[in-house]
Amino acid sequence: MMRKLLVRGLLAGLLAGLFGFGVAKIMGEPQVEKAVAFERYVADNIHHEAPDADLVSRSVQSSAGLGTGALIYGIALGGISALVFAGIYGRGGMTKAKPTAALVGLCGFVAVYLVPVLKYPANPPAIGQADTIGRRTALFVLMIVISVAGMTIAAIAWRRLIDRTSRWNATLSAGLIYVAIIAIAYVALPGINEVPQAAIPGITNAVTDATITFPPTILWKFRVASILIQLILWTGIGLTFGWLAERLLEPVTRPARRFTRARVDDIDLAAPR
Amino acid sequence: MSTMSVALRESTPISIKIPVRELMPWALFTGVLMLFLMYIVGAEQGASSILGGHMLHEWVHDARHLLGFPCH
Repeated sequence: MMRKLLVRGLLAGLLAGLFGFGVAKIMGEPQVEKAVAFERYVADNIHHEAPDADLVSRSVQSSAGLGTGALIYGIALGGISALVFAGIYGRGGMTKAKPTAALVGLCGFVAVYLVPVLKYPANPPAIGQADTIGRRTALFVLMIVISVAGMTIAAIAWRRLIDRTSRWNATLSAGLIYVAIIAIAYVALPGINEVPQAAIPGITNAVTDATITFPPTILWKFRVASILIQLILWTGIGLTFGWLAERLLEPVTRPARRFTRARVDDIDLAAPR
Repeated sequence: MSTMSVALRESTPISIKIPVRELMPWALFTGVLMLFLMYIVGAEQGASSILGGHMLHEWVHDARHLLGFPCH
């Protein structure tokens, strides 16, 4: 059973990855191109550096490369979603495959992507200094780990609370536990800002020693695209996997219902008995 | 006669649950594999490097940025 569920999770992830690639290509790539052009402009006109030879050309990066990354990531998320689904399906009143899978997708999107990224936002090329990559990655991964752990603690608390109080109160309490954990992490962990910013006296210092500012609307559109890509990935997995899992786990209900309807229709109420 | 068998079939509770001992080996093995795939897309040849070089980093470059990971 677990093998069949996993295969369906990977399939759902593959499909969601395709949609994610579509959104990335249409909404994300224009911003990436502009950011790369900004990077080139700064190198040429401000730092007067010779351009590095491209190991992989921009046209490959923005098509085959982007596609590979989106599909592998989608497949990985699909597999993990199937494992999490298998852990909660049939427990704590989670008796329906579709809503259970949708809930896994929603909670996954919030815990793995949205909450960590609101603390450490996605950045296009030209933002981020080479010598801080280790620290930035470590903090981002730490934020994901805290968020996923917080969501898990909240889920365990919810499972225990539903036996003692109403589902409404159990859900509110679990939500509060997650929010509290995230609030502490948001305050305790240091912020990161490496978006190039020219100094404006009395308002802001220069960020990353820049004498030029990265265009804010490009940054905004890039971050919105990033959020939408992840939303499509998780929604696609939640809905597709739920549909596939229902066909696998709850096959009896559908034919039986159809059979019942046919029988009921067969009964002629006007006929004398 | 037939309506009765339908009623019985419908009232049968569906309670498939994956036993923990069936789930655990899959969760450990596949879970680690899936996390490794995420690492490959998200951080290999960036913050840390197992394979060395920049080829993989450059190949998934755009996806890494757009999926929200620090890239370089």
